[in-house]
Amino acid sequence: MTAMDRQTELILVAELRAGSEAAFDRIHVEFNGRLFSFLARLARNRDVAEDLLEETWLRVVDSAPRLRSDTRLGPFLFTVARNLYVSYCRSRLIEDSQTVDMIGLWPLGTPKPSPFESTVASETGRRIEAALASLPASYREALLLTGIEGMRPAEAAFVCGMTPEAMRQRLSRARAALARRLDEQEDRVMAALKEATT
Amino acid sequence: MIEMLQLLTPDPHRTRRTSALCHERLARQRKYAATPSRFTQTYLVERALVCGFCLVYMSCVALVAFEVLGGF
Repeated sequence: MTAMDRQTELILVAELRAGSEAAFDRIHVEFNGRLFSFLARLARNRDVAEDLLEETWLRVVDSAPRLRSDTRLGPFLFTVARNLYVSYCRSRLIEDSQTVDMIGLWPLGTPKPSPFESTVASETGRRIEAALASLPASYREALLLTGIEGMRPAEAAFVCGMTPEAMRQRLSRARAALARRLDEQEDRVMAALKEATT
Repeated sequence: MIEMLQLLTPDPHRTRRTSALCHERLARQRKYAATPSRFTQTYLVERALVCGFCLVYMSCVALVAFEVLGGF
């Protein structure tokens, strides 16, 4: 994941405020996949994530002329995406009843490693995806913003609209919950193996 | 451990469509910013009318005052 330096970010914000399509394209290339991954794992559904992603970019473009010159693009874009997801959940009230679609989440067109690497990586990835998807949305977003996006707890707190201290506590609980879910999965696999060999 | 999760790829067709929509909106915004808005034009006309009426009124007041004072 590439990190945009602050100077470039400030220039891009200034150009976007002026309505530059080139600046928009650069921001889009940098953040489109990241925002989609965040939304897909938060919503646990590719189609919903696609809709929210489109709406996120349209909102960003609409609010571009009113952006502050010192806006930090990462936190800003993830705040817009998260707010849209929250609105979506409120309007549909489906968060808890949504089906987990692991196969639908798996990325398309990834580079091909060796069959062994592929099996191990895909198995581990699937286990983590499943464990992550089984966590409450508040834990998922905290883990995704800090673990995958590499945001500091203060930045993640800004995106989620809470204090940095509360975010640190939430993160600690989320990590513990994820570890517990992974252990439970491991136990289930071991039990199934044992049963199969006896 | 969560860092090892792969970046998910959105549908390329939809990505292109969204990008085109955003370009369209940006172009519209630039066009809108380049021409004075209808609000600005209305505001200017309104100010000019108010100033005009004020001038006429003050001139009438001055005229009446001149006539009254001139009578002495």
